[in-house]
Amino acid sequence: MVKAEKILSEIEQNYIEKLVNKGTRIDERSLDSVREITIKTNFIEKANGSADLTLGNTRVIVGVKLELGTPFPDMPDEGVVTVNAELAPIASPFFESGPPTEVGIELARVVDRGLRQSKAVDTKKLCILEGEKVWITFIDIYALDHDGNLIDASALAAIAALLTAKMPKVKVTKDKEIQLLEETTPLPVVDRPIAVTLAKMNGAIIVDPCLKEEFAMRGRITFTFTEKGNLCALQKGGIGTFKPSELLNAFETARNLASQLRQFLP
Amino acid sequence: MVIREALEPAIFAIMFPRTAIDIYIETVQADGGTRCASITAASLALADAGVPLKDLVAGCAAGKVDGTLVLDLNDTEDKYGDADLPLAFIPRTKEVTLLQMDGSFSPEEFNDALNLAITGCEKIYEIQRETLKKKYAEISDKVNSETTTSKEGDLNG
Repeated sequence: MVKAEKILSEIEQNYIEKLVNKGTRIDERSLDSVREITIKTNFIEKANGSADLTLGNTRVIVGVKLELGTPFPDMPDEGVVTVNAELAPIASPFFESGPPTEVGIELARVVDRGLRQSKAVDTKKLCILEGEKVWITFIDIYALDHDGNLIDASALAAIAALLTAKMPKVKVTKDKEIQLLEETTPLPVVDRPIAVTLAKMNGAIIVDPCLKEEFAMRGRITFTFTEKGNLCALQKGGIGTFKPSELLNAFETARNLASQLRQFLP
Repeated sequence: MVIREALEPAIFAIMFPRTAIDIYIETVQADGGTRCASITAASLALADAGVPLKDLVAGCAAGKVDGTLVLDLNDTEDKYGDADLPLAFIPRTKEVTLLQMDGSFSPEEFNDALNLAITGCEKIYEIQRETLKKKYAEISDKVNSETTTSKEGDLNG
């Protein structure tokens, strides 16, 4: 089988770098502009929550599923939130079927960290019977089309799906039996964290890199901000390096962009 | 993966085409800061192996515990503290090669924590350098004493 290589031709690499140094991009965006975003929520009827998000040509869907389970022994009165990402071969010639790769694991972990550290889901409200029964929230990310910046797209889709997710009401009988009711309540989401990824190439910092820019970049950094504008998660990737002053500038750019992106949420 | 990405910028990999460098790290006892300690130790091991490097890479974390900024968190501080920001740094070129964070930082706190972690890395860097220098000082002492003995031998012979 022929495997597509993640190598840009030298001519393309130089072209992308030159454009960025001139302050523009291959898709004629400015360095600090994000591609067009559309979000459709609750499009899967059978799921507790779902979101279909496009960011330019990048497309991800996220499903939220609630299941009854037992809490962790050290947090008996809290529900559980877990994130999983699937990079299916239909999304890109660079993805193959099989066990999750480093890219997939990192994607899920960055999204997970953003949601967890911002305490976006009030896990105490997912508790039904302390130490016995809680709601376990599965957040499944599926990449459908990979044209770069899966992290921001997935994080945004995940919080959009959570915000519109519905939790079945439950009735606990005298002998501790749990009955699921037809009625639902919204999932207790108390913060709306936003992830913003910036890429560095040839000394310049750009936001929302497309796939070719991801190949051309040396390093990237993802900031996740809470609604109050505090930083709650951070992850640097790639073999590029950042100067401390670049990090502080990137921090400000990302912080401003996060509040703009939050307006796309339902 | 993050450790690889933290070290790779310091290695002149271009000098080793078609070559893989395997680094094995074993945590013997975890009490916070394992990632940073691993990077600090691995970069020393690379230097010890004679792999050409831009500079040593030093790792150190800064964080927030009970609202106070602290350097190099231990396990308890990491688990129950408010924030943790591990960082790896190339002191000669002043480049950050690893940066992660979880918890909550205001913009000012992020700025201060970043600077604090870099200061920590610079201190660790001094210790790394001393360690390397000490090793070669010992070797050169040994070589010197050996050459003196052999000279004496020559004279006697």
